[in-house]
This record gives sequence, C-alpha cells and structure tokens, in this order.
Amino acid sequence: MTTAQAHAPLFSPEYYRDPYATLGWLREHDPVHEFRFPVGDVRMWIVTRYDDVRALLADPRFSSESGTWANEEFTAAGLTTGAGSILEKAITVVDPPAHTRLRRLAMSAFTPRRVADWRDTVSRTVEATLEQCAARGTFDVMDDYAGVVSSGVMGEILGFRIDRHKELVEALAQAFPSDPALMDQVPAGFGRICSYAADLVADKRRHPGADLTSVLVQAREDEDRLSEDELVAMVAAMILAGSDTIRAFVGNAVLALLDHPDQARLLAADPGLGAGAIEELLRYDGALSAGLFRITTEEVELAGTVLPAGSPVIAALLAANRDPARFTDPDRVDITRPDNRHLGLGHGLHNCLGAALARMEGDIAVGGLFRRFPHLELAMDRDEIGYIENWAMRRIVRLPVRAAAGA
Amino acid sequence: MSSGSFSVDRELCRGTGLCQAMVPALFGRTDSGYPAADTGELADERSVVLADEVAECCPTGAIEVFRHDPVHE
Repeated sequence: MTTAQAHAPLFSPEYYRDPYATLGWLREHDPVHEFRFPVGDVRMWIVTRYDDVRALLADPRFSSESGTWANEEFTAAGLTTGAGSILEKAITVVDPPAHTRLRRLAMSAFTPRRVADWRDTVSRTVEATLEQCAARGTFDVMDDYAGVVSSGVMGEILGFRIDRHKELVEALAQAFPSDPALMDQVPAGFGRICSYAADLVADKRRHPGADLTSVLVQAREDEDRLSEDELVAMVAAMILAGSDTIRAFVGNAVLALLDHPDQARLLAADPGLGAGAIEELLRYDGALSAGLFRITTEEVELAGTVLPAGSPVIAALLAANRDPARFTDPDRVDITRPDNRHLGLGHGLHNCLGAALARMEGDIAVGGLFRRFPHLELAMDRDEIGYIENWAMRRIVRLPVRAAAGA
Repeated sequence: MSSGSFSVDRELCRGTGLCQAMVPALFGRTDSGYPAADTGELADERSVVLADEVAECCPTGAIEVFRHDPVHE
C-alpha cells in the first residue's frame, strides 16, 4: 500500500487509543487484510466486515484449534493459546466432537434457573459497591466499581476466596501480554491460572457448596464425562473468560454513556430500557476486540481473498459491529436501536456461553450506576483515557468519575 | 414415521448461529444465524441425538426436542 494512511498501524499504541479509525479504513478498502502480527512477526489476516466476520465464525473451516491446524510460523511464535498446559484442550480452543461434550456440560451448569438465582448475588454486590463509591465521591470506574463488582460476582459464582483475586489479575496479565518482550512469561501465566483452578477444584471436592465449581466437580463424578484435566481446564477457562471481560465491558459502557448523556438520562429514567441498552452497548464498544485466533483447515476463499491452509485469521468484532452496511449510524449510541444483532458476544460454535450472566450483570451494574449517580461526570481529560495494549481485549486503564451534585 | 421433532422459541432465540454451526442439516444455513424453520421433524434416532446435543449447547435454551413414543405411533 503506497497511499499515505491517516490511520494508525494495527496494534500500535495509537491504534489502541482509537482502533475505529484503522478498522473503518480497512473495512472499506481492504476487508480481508494481510499483515504481520507484532508478536513473532507472523503472517496473518484480519477480517472487518460484518457479513464476513459472521460468516467466518459460523464456518467450520475456520478452526479454533490452533494447536492442531496452525502453520509452523504461528506455532513457533508461541501464539497457540495455552500451549503446553491443560488449557490447550479447553472449551474455547477445541473443535467438535470434544467441543460439543464440553459445551453441553458447561451449559448444564449455566441453566436459565441458575443464572436467575445469581441475580441476587449481582444486585447485592452492585449495591454494596455503589455505597463504597458514594462514600468516595470521586472514584475510578475500572478499579473501584467494575473491577470490584466483576471479581466479587465471579468469586461468589465460582466459589473462590476474594483474597486471591489480585494474584489472579496478575496471572491474567502475564498470560495475555501485548508486549512481545514478555512472551516468554506466557506459559508461566497460564500455569498459574491452571494451578489456581486446580486448588479450587480440590477445595470444592472436599467442601462442596452451591457454587459453579462444585456443580462441575459433581458432573465429573456423576457421569465421568469429564477427565480431571478437562475439569480443571473448564474452571480455568471460566476464570479466563469471565473475570476481566465484564470489568472491561462495564468500563466501555459507562464511557459510552458519559459520551452520550441523552442516552444515559433515558436509561436512568426507565429501567425497562436496560436490556436493549446492554445490546447496544455490547455492539458499540464490547469487551472483546476480536475473537480468539481462527485457523483455516484447508485453503479457503473469503470475500475474494485466498487464504492458504493453516493461516491465522482475526475476526474483528469491533469493526463488524460498526459496519454501516449492517447498522444505521453505527458510531452513535441508540439504546432503543431495533434489530440489534451484534457480534459483541461472538457468533457460531464458540459464542459466549456466559452470555445470559454477562447481560444480566451488565444491565444491573451499568443501569445501577447511572440511577444512583444521575449527574455522574468524567474526572479526567477525555483525551487522556488510555486502553490496555492487548489485541483481543478492549479495556480502559483508568476511568475516574465524580458522583457530582445531587448524588 | 419420524423419531421426533424440535421447536425453536423465537422469543428466546438470539440468532447466535450455534445450532447451524453444529448441525446445518437440521437447522439450515441462513445468513442471519437464526434457524431456517421454527419446527422440524427428526427422521431417525441419530437426528434426535444430534438435536438434543444442540438443544443442550444453545446459549439461550431456545430449542426443545420431542422424542416420539413408538408405542403410540
């Protein structure tokens, strides 16, 4: 490309501050874009149009099992999620039939009834956290609100002790670095998460409770459909998928509403709009920038581009959800948007299995914040807001706000 | 004579495309991610088992599978 580009290169510091300029340009000019992934300088493609992203996530020729299908270059760069640990066989990175068996089991623990039972846990946690925030007056949405709520709910649901949470956050950061210089620490990060999950499983086997971990332990013992490694990997995968994602989403949603005060007022005035608002906020700026790597199992043609077998492909959820070919006025938040079939929780075989919990938690946490503090305002310069430099997760670093007058 | 049938609750379904990714032969290949039909016949035991698996994996619990009782057919 010889054109002078006004947008930042993919996965550069400027890109993380505002990925939409780059993604919008790619969606328009190069919808299946070949580039070099910064970690390991690996040849890769990124897909940005709504129809193409959805099609690839629904297509079994794009496998999640990078350990099986990826080319040598990808594998040598250490990009296989969970390589060398039991997470290599986790639900997020396996294909059917193993995926079907694991997903059935996981969903059996996520029944609508159990999710409904968690509503009290979520409400209680949100209320207590709002009290603490009110006492502070000025607080950081990421650390003092979203982080406290998401880890508190996760802890109660999986049954782990809150005092180990900080340790877990560190392990997560180690497992998903954005700095190529830290790649050698990745196996240690996954190792820590797995040993944490193993401790939890052992603990719940001795002292079963009403938590999700105990339900999964029971499922293993009842039917033996799950090996011990699979059980620990399942718990580890739930920790990985369910902790920082909610925190990121709540942060993005709060910022979106601060940027669209008319929509914040609308939501605060009518809790009945909560469910639609969450769909719109998941579309507008979801927690996941992209799905986990997909690998072509054979040569595939996608929107006119030929991808060789074994190619790593990134499905850019953020870009798809702002595609003007699918959404009217996509860069605007409209909490009453009709027909909002976004891809914020993924699509196809690996769509978010905790979606019902994520929606409920998002609704209670985001709506609750604006109802408690109707005059909430940003307590830092809007231009200074920064994001973690992670290719797959879009999370604000700090989001200080003031409860303001009337709180 | 079929071995069973399934139905999709459109109120619950969110078009995640999981059913189509798992068993396109039963749930169709629409671009939308919503199954092609609200109901369908399951011709044989194998189809009933497959539909059951999909129902158990569906993130919104929108699919119900009915097994026909051979005694009453």
